[in-house]
Amino acid sequence: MKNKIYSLKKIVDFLFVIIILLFLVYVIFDVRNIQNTLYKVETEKIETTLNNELNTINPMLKFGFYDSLKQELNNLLKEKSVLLIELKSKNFNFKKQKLKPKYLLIKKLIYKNEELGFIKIGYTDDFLIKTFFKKYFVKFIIYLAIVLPVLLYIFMFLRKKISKLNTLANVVKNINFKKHSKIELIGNYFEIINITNAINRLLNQINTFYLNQLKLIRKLTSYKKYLESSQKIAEMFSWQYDCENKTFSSQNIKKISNLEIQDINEFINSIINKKDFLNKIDYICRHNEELEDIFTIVNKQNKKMYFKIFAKHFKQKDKDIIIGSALNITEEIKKQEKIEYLAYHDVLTGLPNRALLKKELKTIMAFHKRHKKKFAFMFLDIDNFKMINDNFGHERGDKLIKEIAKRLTNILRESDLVARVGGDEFVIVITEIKNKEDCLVVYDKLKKVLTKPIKILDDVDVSVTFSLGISIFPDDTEDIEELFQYSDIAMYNAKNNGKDQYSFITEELKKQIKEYYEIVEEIKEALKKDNELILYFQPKINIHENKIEGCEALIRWKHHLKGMIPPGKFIPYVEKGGLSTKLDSYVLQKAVETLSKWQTNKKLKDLVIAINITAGKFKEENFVDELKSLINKYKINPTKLQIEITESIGIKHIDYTIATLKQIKELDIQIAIDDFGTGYSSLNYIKDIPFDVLKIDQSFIKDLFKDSSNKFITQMIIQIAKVLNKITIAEGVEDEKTLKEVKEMGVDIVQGYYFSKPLDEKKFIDYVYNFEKTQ
Amino acid sequence: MVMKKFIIFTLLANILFSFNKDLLILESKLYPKLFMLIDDYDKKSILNIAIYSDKNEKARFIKKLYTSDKLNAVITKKIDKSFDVILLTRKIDNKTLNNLLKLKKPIFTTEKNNVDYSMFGIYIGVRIYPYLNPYLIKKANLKLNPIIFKVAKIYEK
Repeated sequence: MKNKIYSLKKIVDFLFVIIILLFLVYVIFDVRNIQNTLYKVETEKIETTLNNELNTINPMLKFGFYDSLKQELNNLLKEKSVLLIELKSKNFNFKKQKLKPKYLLIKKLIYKNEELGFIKIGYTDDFLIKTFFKKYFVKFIIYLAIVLPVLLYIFMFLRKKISKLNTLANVVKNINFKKHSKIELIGNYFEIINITNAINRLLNQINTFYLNQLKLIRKLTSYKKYLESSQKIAEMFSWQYDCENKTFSSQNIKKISNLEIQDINEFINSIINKKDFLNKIDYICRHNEELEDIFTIVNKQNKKMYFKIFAKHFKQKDKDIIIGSALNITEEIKKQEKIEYLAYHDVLTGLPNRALLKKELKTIMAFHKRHKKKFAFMFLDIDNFKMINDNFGHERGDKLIKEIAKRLTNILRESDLVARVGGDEFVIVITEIKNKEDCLVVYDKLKKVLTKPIKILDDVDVSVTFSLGISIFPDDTEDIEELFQYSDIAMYNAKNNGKDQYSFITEELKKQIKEYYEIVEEIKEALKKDNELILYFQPKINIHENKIEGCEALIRWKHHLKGMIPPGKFIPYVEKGGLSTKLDSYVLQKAVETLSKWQTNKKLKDLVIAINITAGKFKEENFVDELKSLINKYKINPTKLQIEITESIGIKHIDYTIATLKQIKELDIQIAIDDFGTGYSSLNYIKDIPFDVLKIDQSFIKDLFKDSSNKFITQMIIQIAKVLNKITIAEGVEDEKTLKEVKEMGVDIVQGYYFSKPLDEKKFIDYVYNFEKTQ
Repeated sequence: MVMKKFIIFTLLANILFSFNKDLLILESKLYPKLFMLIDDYDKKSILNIAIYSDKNEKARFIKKLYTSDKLNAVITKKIDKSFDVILLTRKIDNKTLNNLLKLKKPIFTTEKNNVDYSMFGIYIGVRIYPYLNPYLIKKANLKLNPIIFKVAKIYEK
């Protein structure tokens, strides 16, 4: 059905005209009706009159009273409405007419069943109508005078109101919602105000919506730009596939650099496994699925490029389509390949690293196991490489390593394997050997090749020797880790035996390894216990005030079976077994516990306990938190705890060191720089590091009188400490002469066997109590 | 016996000469209005009424009823044209009637239901209304106001 739009104004006009017309029609019909009624009234009246008159006329006619009859008829004619009277009878006739009558009424004159004649009366209702309509007209005028103005007023009012609505509609039509959020009120009618308010509310909402949309569009445009830029940066393009027509389309494929393909179809054609790709696309179309896969293409330069293709099925207007994207991941793939390469290869030499070695070993082992064959696992370490590094620098050292790697690669068979597993450590796998003698052949070859001078500087040639540890698969072991361990220990054995030689793994060496692991396990167990690893305390004496300033806590192992084991015996196992940090934590806790105990003792409460912290512990992220936690737990005076770190720890990562030491200082813990003088500390660093005590390495003190440079260095260290306003401690003071010397030099505190060796807690307390007496 | 006869005579006389005064009064109210509808009597200043009767109590009573500013009643049996209206108090014979008709004056009767020998009378039935005898009126050639035909009943033989 079509919508017909009528103007309300026209409808009102039309209604007004209709009302007027209806009114007029009503009036006309009313008048007609009234006229008719009046005619009937008049006729009735005439009939009644005549009927009454007949009662008189008939006897008068019958009995011949013609004069009276005449008079009566004349009287009848006096009636305004009666215009004609005509009486006809046998003996008497009468006819009189005033005007032409409108209507005629004829009656027979009958008296006592005797027909006497007839009487015709002509009459009109004009007078009645005139009289009536005089009144009617007055009423009509009054009615019109009242109703018409009211009607007119309503009409005008409605018209005006509708006009305002039309004006409002025009205003609304011309609104630019982008600029206006409000329209002015154009009338004071309720509806106008109401509609205006509604429009204003709507406008406001539209305006807000528009502004939001505008923001959104700007954002979207911006995002689109970003997306395009991102796609460009990310080397990405989008594409579409029409499942029905089997056609591809793309608008931004040209943005991919190095692709030099202008068209998506060209791109599809350049996919190496195009058939597979198209099959997958077809499958997605049919099964409403998704695809995420990497495809390789060959560009115009005949170079491989990798694209990660995402594709998803969509329904668009009942049409099956696939929307997809293609991300150029060539760089990532290459990087990944490089990363993979780096993960498995030594950067310096390009040789396989330990990881690849292990990976390859599995294959080699499987092969040899299957074919019941043997291979040699050789651990090669360049002798004195550290010295070359120290003397000629790392760059030269690297050059040397590279050359060695090259020579190793050159002399080995294709089936053999060489890997770099450490700074100067190489592993050589000689496959399919028959016996140990085959290894010696290889050793000779190696010796021949590697001992040839290597030019590391224009005028410097170096000849290197190496130590070789050998283990045989499967004779010695069938386990990868054990192959490493056995060869390693055999190599150390060769080194211990004077270097520049080889060593096969022996049962004795295997025993040593076993022992090593057993000791490490025992240390781990001891760390869990409370009574095996115990603290010894070596007093620190303030030689100017002649009092015990504190002590250095040193760990001792009181083995439950083997008895006291000196630190020199088990500390290497601790270090090699990766237990240094655990041992540090153990010592730290024991020292804090001791401080906590001593706090209540008048003689002991002022003593400072120093503990050594290894580099590993110091670098732990939660080291400071651990300190905080212990201080809080045991509620000790933190100024009585001293952390000793070696000069080398501090200098390696100076920023981290400074930041960590500052945090430790904030806890009010004392800091001592241990073994000062042995490293390469620069004054610049030293002045920035927050510390309290400078410990002169005992190597300087012990040889104070042997080497004049030691005295000079010691004096310089003491001067540095004085300048920095730090306390100096001399370690290793073992005789009176040395004590006198360091005292003269200005050392504040001394520590050494002259006063006391490290003592267990009980003996240390006794020492403290007896110190004043002995002095 | 004589006495007895006297008493009977007296009673009979009373019966014979007794009259209905109410009827007469009623007539005296009605008839003057009818007088005015005859000829041009309404224009006359005074109407002379001849009460055709002996001078008896009834006649005298009637005379009183018809004596006013406009009416002048006389009890007489000698009636001439000077009288405007003849009022009969009892039945008359045809001869007398013919003589009176010759005078061409309206004749009224005070007797009820006595139509044959008077022009106008009174009818007393369920309703009371005047009646007229058109034959006698026509004989006397009286001019009547048509209204009279509306108010009176037409006597027919």
